[in-house]
Amino acid sequence: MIELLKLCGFEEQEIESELPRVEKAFNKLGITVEDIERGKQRLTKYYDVELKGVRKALRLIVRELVNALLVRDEGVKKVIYGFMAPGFDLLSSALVTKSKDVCSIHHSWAFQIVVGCIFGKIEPILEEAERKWLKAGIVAHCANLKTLVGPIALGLYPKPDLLVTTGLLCETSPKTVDLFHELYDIPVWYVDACQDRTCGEYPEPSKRVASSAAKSLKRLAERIQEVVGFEITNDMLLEVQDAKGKLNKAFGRIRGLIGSSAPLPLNPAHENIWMCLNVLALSIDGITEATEAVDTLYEELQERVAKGLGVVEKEAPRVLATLPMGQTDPRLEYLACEVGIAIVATDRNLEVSTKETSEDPYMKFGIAMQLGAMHMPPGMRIPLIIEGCKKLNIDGVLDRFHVGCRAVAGDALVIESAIKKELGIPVLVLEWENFDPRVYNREEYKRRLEVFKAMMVKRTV
Amino acid sequence: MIELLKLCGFSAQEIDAELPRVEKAFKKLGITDEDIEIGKQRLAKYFDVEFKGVRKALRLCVMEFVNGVVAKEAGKKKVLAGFMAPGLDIVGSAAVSKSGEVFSAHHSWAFLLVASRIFDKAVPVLEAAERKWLKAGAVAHCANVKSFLGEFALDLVSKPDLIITSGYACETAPKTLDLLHEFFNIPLCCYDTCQDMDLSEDRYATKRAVDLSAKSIRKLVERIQDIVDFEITDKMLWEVINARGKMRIASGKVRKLVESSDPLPVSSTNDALWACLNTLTMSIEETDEAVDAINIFYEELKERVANGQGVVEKGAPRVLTYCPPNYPDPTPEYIIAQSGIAVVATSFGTSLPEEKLYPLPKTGLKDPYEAMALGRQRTASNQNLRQRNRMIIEECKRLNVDGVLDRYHIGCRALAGDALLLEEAVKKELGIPVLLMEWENFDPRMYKQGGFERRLDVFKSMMTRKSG
Repeated sequence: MIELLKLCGFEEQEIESELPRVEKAFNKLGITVEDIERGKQRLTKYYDVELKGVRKALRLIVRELVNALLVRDEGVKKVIYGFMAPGFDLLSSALVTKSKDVCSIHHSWAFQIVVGCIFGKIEPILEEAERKWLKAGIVAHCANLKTLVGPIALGLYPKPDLLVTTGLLCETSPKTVDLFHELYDIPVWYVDACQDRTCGEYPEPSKRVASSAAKSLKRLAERIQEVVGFEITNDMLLEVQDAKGKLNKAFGRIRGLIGSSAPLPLNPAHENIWMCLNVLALSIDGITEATEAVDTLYEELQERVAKGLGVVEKEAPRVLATLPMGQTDPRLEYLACEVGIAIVATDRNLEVSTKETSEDPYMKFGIAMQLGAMHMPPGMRIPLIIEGCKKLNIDGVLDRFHVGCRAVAGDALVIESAIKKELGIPVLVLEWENFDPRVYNREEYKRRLEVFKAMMVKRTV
Repeated sequence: MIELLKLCGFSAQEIDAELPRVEKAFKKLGITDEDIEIGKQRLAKYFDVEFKGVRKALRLCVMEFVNGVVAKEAGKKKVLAGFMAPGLDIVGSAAVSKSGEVFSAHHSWAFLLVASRIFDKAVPVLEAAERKWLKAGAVAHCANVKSFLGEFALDLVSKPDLIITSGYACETAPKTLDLLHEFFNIPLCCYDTCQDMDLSEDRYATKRAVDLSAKSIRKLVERIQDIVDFEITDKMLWEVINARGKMRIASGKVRKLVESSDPLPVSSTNDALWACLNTLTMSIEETDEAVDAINIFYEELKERVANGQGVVEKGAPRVLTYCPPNYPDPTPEYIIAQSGIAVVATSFGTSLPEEKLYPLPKTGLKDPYEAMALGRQRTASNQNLRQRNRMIIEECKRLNVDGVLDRYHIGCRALAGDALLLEEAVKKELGIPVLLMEWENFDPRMYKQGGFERRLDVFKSMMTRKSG
């Protein structure tokens, strides 16, 4: 256990003080001695744990999960849980900065990384959700939601005082949260905004969408205030936004370095760690620690780039992947490196810039929320991907679609057709589940990635 | 072709007049002489075409299909096409009642009924949609949405001047229509309401959701007025609502007769026909024809009941189904009847009486938009899980069913999520057998006879054992 915690960036002194808590939390998860060994092997294989920045980031994630699992045992008075809830991280960080009596959990991302990516033990959690109401089989409900239902159903996560979701990204999440309300008697709250943006507005964000999102998020803040018993002021939120702005700049530097380097200096599976850090309900101190971790990694990567070191050959074809990296399983990204493909970016991180701004933290959120590809209708997402491909000098697009989300899966063929028409580069359309390691088929994926690589190489030769 | 049209209730005179249009539409669908033969056989096997009422209803559906295919060529100046858009049946009916230059279609059910249920030709349409953006495989997008997209992809229907959908019941429909707007350059209107209804133990409708829905439908009507260039007045809407009210009463009589008869007098293979009729955006005159068809069918059924005739044995186990029948493929319903199980109702047909809604004015509703919005909230399919399960359990008790065929439409992840919870609730409250079954309401490729029959046999024996 101690070795594993060291690989996750815990210092000797911290291990001494935290070990009982970590053991308690891992016991709750059913982590055995064999799991710890496997965890160490997976950490070494899939993550560059020799880089201090990676270890520091992992530490924050492990700590977040341990805190969440022990929250009721340790007397935290109020637990608020957000799922598929952009904007919730903003309120959460303000809450946990203000009061130690509040724990806020956003998404199951820390859970997914520790239980799924590190220990490779997410399957029983998914199966538990499938014994409730979410389905495997042809229906194939999103496994992300299964990582919400599974831990709560198994009593791993505490019963929250408020469960929050939105209609901004997902339709199964509100349905699932509603069932939690019905069957587990958990108070719930929804945030939403209108979805009908006009493609003619691209790339500018819609003021109507921004103000409806802002209004709805503000109502959530009012509801949370009732639960926690203190006010969430605009100043608190602006302070969080300021801290998160610094974190995002640090991410931008790393992504910029990765996007402009050959050979690719870091396995793309790490991207999942940055995305997780970005949504954790960290206090402002925690956000500052996260920024330091990312800055440390940037320095380390710069050194690696200067030495010409990388995880694939220098001439490896450069690929943009759609959707975030595997969130419970790093194997596909690792396999891409093995095959010799450099995934340099995902469309999840592509954003348009805007001059539109606001002094109001809620409006700021409403504007910022619209800038990323994940919040765009296909008519906007596609030009953004095409611009990204041009800017990053991409040789091919790994057009993977998350089978758990019927809305986003619908875009894959349309993206393929637009990329081929506009850029004439190879596109690999790949059926995939972002959150379910059971779909991973090494032989099939390897075969397809090799063909994809050959097509890109042939084209550039 | 003439024989087929006769089976579909066309009179000799009408065949003379309509044949060129029907031929044109069928040709566009790629219907061959062999298909006509297949169609005749399927009509005779799966529909009770010896009933005049069934033939009359089939005629209206075939006419809707033909009109949809040749609308622009037949001189219709404005075409509206709605999908998963409750309320459009009323608004569209008001528009077509006012002007012969407007054609309005809701859903693709007339298309599915003719192209697939009669001619067994849905698969190429679904595959066309799958070559666009909707997927087979693990994603398994809803085949209902595929049927709508497939029609456009294959250029089978007239290009509409406005496509319409809502966020009421489905999330894939707005997404797909948005893409149709983007890639086929078709103007789009989407309306919606809030979904988070604050429902109490004894109330099933929320004024807040109804008001928002009414406001949104009003905006849709303003948009349609811009397209058709005439006003759709409240009076016009009330006329349609009243005409459709007669249809609902007639359908209710048929349903009561079916559910109270033993043996079951008619196969549930016909149910898709009545469901289709209910979605058509007919003029008031055509709505009267539909009422006439249903009333004739009722009289014919009464006679069958009086003679003690039925499609299953007397005493066959009585079943309520969760999802409605497969629309493009009558085979599963046919096999259910062959297995000796009497499908007496579907949960989707369950509707609430007025006293279960929020308190309504004693003088009745004055606003047709509120009436449209409230109509939607009366049905089980539009309730949240808790309320729907309560409605289903009450319905099971009322109908004295022996089991629930808990088939869930895999194309709809929201609905599919409820199936296990419904099973649990029915078993706990009623202690009757529940057959949980993966099901695609709109894709004939899903049906696998062997497994299906075996499971029905086990289900039947469980029900028989329990009641025996």
